[in-house]
Amino acid sequence: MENIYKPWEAKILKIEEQTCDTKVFRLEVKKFDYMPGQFVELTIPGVGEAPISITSGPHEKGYIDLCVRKIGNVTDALHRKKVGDKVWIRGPYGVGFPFETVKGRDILYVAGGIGMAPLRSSINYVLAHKSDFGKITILYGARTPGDLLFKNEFERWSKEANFLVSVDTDKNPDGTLCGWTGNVGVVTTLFDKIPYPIKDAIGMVCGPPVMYKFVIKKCREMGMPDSSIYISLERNMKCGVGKCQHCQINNKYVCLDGPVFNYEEVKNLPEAI
Amino acid sequence: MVKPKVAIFDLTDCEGCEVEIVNSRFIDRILESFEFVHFRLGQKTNKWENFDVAFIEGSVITSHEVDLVKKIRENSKLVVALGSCACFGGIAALNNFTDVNEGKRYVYGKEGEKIEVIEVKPLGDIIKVDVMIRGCPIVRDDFDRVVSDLLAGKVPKEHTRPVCMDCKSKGNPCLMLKGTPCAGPVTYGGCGAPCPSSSMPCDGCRGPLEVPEMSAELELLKKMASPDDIVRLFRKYTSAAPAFKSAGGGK
Amino acid sequence: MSRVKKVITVLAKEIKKEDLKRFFEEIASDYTVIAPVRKGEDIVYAEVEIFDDVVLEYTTTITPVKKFLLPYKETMFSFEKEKIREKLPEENIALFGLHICDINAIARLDRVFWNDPYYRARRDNLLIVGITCKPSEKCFCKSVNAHILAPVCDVFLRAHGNGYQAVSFTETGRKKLNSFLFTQTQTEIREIKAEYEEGKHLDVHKVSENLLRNYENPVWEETAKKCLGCTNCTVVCPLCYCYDVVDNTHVKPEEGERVRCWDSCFLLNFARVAGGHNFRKDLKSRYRNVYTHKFRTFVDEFGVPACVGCGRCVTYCPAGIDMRETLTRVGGA
Repeated sequence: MENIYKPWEAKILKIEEQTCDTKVFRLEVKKFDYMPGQFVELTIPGVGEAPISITSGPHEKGYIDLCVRKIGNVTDALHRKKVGDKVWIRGPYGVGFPFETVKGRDILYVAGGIGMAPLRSSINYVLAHKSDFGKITILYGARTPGDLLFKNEFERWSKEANFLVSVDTDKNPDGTLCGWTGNVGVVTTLFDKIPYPIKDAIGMVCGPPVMYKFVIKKCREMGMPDSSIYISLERNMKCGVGKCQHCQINNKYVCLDGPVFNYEEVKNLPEAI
Repeated sequence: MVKPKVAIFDLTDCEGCEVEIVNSRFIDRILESFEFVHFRLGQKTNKWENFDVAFIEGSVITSHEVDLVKKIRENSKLVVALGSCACFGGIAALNNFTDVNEGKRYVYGKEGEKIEVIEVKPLGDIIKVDVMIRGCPIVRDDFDRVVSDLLAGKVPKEHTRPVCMDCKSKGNPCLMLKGTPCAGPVTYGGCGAPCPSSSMPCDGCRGPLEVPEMSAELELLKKMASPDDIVRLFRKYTSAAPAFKSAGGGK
Repeated sequence: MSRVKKVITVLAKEIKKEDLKRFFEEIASDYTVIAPVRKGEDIVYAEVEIFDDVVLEYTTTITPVKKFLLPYKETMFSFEKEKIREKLPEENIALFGLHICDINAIARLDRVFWNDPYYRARRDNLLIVGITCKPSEKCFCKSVNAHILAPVCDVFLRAHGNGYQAVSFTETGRKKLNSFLFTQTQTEIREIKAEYEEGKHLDVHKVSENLLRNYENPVWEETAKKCLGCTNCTVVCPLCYCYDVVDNTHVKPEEGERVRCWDSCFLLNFARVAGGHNFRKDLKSRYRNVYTHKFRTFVDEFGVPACVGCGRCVTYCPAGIDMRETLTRVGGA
C-alpha cells in the first residue's frame, strides 16, 4: 500500500532572498495540482518535517514556490540549502482559498507579516484571471519596512489592484527614522484608506494569531458578512493528514478542514481565533 | 571538514555525567567528529582556546568557580549544562537550606572558617546556558541526541513530558496510587523512568517541568506524606530549581 | 474502509478449560503471543511463552494493547545520505485474552489508521483472541456503545459452564477453530456482549451535543486544579493515539531515522507553533480538549466516541479524577 507519509524528492531551482530571515525557494515538481492556501510537508532528512504554505499560484507550472521564514530547525536547515540541492516534500494538503465559487466578486486581501506567503498564491492566481473578478484590494502590513516581502511585485500589484501597504514602525531599533515614506500603523488602519465600499467583497485574511480579531472587527464595521471572510489558521502540525491530533481545534482539523476556513464556520468554535 | 572544538569542564561534582559520556553508544563516532581541546578527566593535554561547545558539569559553589564559568562562557559559542548539578544546583545546593557555618565547623573544625561557600544556583542563573542535559547522572542517549543535533545543525530540543509518561508507557503501576510520594508528575521525563520501574519513587533529578502542576501535586502528596517528607522529596538533586525550592513551604 | 458492519449469526464451538493450554500452544507456534500476566498486584499485557503465566480472569490491565499496534516509539523511515527508506514492521502478533472493550478499541483504531502503512502492516498479521470479561464498577462500556463485540475479533472465548464457547467472525479465526480441540455445537450466537450493571450510566450522545456549549462550564477549571497533567490517563487509554514525529541522527548527520512516538494533548507544547504562540497554554484548556476530542471530534469523524469505557483512566489517575463525573457535569447523565 502507498505510504501516505513518504515524501518525494524535489530539486531547488532558485532561491530568492526576501528579507534577512525570509527566502523564497523554487522547487521543481512534475504534475502537482493545488489551490492557493494549501500547504506541503517539507522534509530535510535528519532534521525534520514542517508544514509550509505554497506561495506560487496554480497557474505557474513545473515548479512551486515556498516562502519560508527561519523560525525553527527545519526552516533553518532549508535556509542553508543551495540551488541544485534536494529537499523532500509531500502534499498538497488542506483546503485553500476559494476561487471558482467567488468569481465575479470583489476581493479584499488582508496580509500580516509572513501571512503574505499563502495569500500571494491567491493574489497572483486571481490577478492572472483578473477579468473574472471585480475590484481587487490588497492590504499588507509588516513590522518594519525591512520585513516587507515580495517588494519587487509591489509595482505590479499597485497597477493591477488597489494595493495598500503599511508598517508598524518606521524607526530603526535605535530610534532613528529609517527613511520610510509610506503608511505607518497596524494593517487595520489601511481599511479607512480604501476609496470604495467593500461590503460586498470576499475577504481573504492571513497573518499572526493576534491579528485576526482586529481584522474581522474591521471587516464587520465595513459591512462585510462573516460568511464572506476567509481566514487561514496556523497550528502545530505533524502528520498533515488528520491523524496526529496536533492541529485539532475542537471538531475541526486545520490540516484537513483548513488551513483556510470560512469565518462563519469557525467563529463560534472555541480556541479557533 | 574542520572538527568542532569541544571542552568538558567539571566543577564541584562526582564526574558521573562524564562517565556517562564515555559510556555513549556512539563514543567512537563522537571521538571522530569532535576535537576535544579541554577534557580534564579524559586526557592529559588540555588547551584554553575558543570552544565551539563547552559542556559544564557540576555545581558552582565558590567565587573561583563563578569566575571560571564566566571565562568559559566568553570563550564558547555554545554552553551546555551537563547534569543536575549544573542545571539545578545538584546535591551541593542543599547547602542553601542549612547553616553552612555550623557545617564547616563540624567537618573542618577551625580551618573551616577559611572555606568560602556561596549560595548554590543553577548555572543558568550565572551565565547564559544554551542547552541543558538533565539528570543525575545524565542519560547517555540525551548526550548523543544533543551532539547529534548540533552536528546536524539543529537546536537540540527535548520532547517535554513528565516522568509519568515514561513510567506508565512501561506499564508500571503508579506508586502514588499505592501511597508512595513521587515527584514523577512534575518532573521532566526522558529518563525512561528507571526509579519507579524499580518501585523507587522519582525524586525529581531531571528538574521541574516548564510549567509543573505543583499545587495539584502538593495537594495529593499531603494525603500520603508529612510536610517534612514532602520537602525532602524535592530537596535532593534539583533543589535550586525555583519550583522545587519552594515546594512544600518547608524551610 | 473495507469493513462492513452486518449482523452475523454463527454457530458456537466448544473447548474444554483444560484444552485451552493446547490451543494457546497452537497459536504460539505461529505468533508472538501477547497476553495478560501478573505484575505485582496488577495485570499487564506482555509477551508470554508459557500458558500458565496467562491470567484468564481479570478486570483490567494497566496499559492497553495499542502499544502492539502503535508502539511507544517506531521508526518510519531511515535516512542514509540522500536516500529515504521506509521501514515497515514484520511482526506476527497474537493478542490472547482480550476483553470486549479492548477489542472494540482496536475496531475504532482501525477507522483512524486503516490507511496508515505501519499500523496496517501489524494489523494485517494480527490475531485477536477475546475472552469473557470481569467488569468492575469502573467499567462503562455500555455508555459508549462498546459493550457489543465488533466483528474484528478472530476468536472469542465465552466462559460457559466448565469451558468456553468459541466463536469466530473472521476467516483467520474460523481456521483456528478447525483445530481438533474444538467441538461443534448447534448454539446460534448473534452477538457477544458484556453483561453487567454499570456503576454509572452516561448518555454519550448528550455529551457530544453539549460539549461545545459547555465550554465555560466550571467543571473544567475545577478538575484542572486537581489534575497533575501527568498524562497517565492518555497513556493507559486504548484510544488515545496522538503522536509526535522527530528526526534523529546518530552523531553522523547523514544517517538517521524518522521516529514517531506517543504524544499527549495534556503536554504543554502540544499546540505550540514554531513562532512560540501556544493555543492551549493552560491545563484547563488541555484537559477540556481530551473530552472534546473523544466525545465530539471523533464522533463527528467516525460516528462513535474515542472511548470504550474500559475505566482505565478512572482506575489509574493518581489524582483520583473520574472522567464519568466530568462527563456527567457537562450534561451526560
